[in-house]
Amino acid sequence: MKQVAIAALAARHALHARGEALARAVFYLAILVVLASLWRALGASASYVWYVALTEWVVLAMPLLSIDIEEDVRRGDIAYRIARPVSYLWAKVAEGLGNGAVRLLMIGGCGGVAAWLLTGTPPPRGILLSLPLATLSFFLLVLWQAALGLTAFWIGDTQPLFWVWQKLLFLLGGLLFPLDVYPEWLQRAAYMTPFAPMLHGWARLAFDPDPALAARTALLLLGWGVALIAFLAWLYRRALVVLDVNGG
Amino acid sequence: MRYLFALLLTNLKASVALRGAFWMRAAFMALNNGIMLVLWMLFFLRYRDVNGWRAADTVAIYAVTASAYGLAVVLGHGVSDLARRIHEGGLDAFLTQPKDVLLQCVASRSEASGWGDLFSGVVLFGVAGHLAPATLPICLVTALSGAAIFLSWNVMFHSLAFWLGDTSTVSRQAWHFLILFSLYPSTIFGGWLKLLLFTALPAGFIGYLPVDLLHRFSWGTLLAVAGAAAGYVALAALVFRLGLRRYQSGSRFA
Repeated sequence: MKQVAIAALAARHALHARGEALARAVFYLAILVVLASLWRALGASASYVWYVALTEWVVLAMPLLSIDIEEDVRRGDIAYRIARPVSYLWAKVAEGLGNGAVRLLMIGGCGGVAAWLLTGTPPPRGILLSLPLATLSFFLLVLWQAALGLTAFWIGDTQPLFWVWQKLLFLLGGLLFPLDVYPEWLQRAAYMTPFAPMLHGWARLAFDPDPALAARTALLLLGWGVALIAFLAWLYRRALVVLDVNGG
Repeated sequence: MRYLFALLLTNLKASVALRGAFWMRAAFMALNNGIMLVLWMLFFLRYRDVNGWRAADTVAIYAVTASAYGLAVVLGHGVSDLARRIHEGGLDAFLTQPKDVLLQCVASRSEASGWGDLFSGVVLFGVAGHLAPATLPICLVTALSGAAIFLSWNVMFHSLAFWLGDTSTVSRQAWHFLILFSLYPSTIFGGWLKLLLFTALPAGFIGYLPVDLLHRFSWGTLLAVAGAAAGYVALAALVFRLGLRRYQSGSRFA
C-alpha cells in the first residue's frame, strides 16, 4: 500500500530530525519535573508522576499535522498535492503515523528513565497492558490533528481551534491530572466525550491492570476511531468542494 | 518614543485589519485560558492547599502571566522570528533605518491572540479582586515587568543565532519553558530549581513574586520585580549588541 511506503519514508525522516525530537524530549522532562514537584508537595504517591509520564508521552509525540495541512492550504501547495495518485488526506495521516511512531520511541525512553529517577519507583505493573492501547490512542490523536488541519479550508487559521481542542484534552482527557481528581459527575461526563478514553482510559490501566476494563477501553477507542475516520472522510469530501469553488 | 508608538500603532492596525481572524484568535485564546483555569479550580476542589498556595493564588498567577504574555506578544511579536532573521541576514532592512535595530525588529509584528490573553488577564485581575484603585497600579507594574522579562528572555535566546546559526527551535523551546514555569508557584520547587527560577530561568519574577506583591505589598518585593525586569532588559540589549557586531549581511540589496 502507498500509505505504508509514505509512513516508512516519514519515519526515516523523523530518525534524522534529532533536534526536533530532542526539543520535545527536553520539554517532556520539564513537565515531569514540574508535576513531580507538585505531587511531591501534596505528598501524593509516585503513581501520579508515572500517570503524567504516560499521558504526556503520546501527546508530545503527536505530529502537528494541523499546521502542515494549514500550510499546504495557505501556500496553495494543496493544488498539486491532491493531483497525486494517492489521497492527500490519508497520505498526511500516514506521514503523521510514520514520524510520530519514531518520536514515540525516542521520547518514550527519556520519559521512562526520568519518571523512574524522579519517583525512585519502577514502572507500574500494568504498563504492558496499557501500551497497546496507548498506540491506538496515538492513532486517534493523529486523526484529530488531520481533522483540525482540514478546517483550514474554511477558516484559514487552525491554531485557535487547536488551542481549544488541546485544552479540552487537558481537561476532559486528564492529561495533567487523572480524572479521579474531579467530582464524579464530571468524570462520567468526560467519558461521554472522545477525550477521556484517549488518555485517562488507557493510562489508568497501568495502575489498575484489569483485563475487562482494558477491553471496555479498547472498544471505546475503536468506536471513536471509526467515528473519526468517517467524519474525516466526510470533512475531506466537503473540503475538496470548497477548494473547487475557490479554484485552488 | 514617538517612532515606537507609530510603529506599534501600524502593527496593531495590520493585525486588526483581518477582522475575522483577529477576533477568532483573540476569543479562542481567552477561551483556552478559561479552560485551563477551570482545570485548576477542579484541582483545588480536591486539594485545597499546595504548600500554602490556594485557588485564589492560581487565579492571580494566571492574571499576571496572561497579561504579561499578552502585552509581550501584542507589542513585540517580532521577536519570535529574530533568530531566523539573524541567520538569514534579514536584519539588513532594519539596519538601513536610523532607529534602534532591536526595537524595530521586536516591534515589527503584533499577535492578535495576545488580545485574548490581555482580556483574560484583566478579567482574572477583577475576579481576584485586584482591580481596585489601590492595587491597579501594581497590576500594571506586574504586567509590564512580566512582559519585559518575557521579551528580554526571548531576545537573549534568539540572539544566540549570532554565534550558533539558526537557533529558532531552541529559542521557541526556551519561551515555552518560561511560560510553563511562570504558571506554577515556586513554593512547590525546592533547592536548585527554586534558585533557577529567580536567576537563569526568571519565571519566579513573572508569576510567583508579582502574586506575592499583589497579596502582601512591600517596597522590597516591588523593587525586586521592577529591578529584575530592568536587569533582564539591559542584559538582553547587551547580548543583542554584542551579537550584532558579528552580524553578516544577507546581501539582499546587493
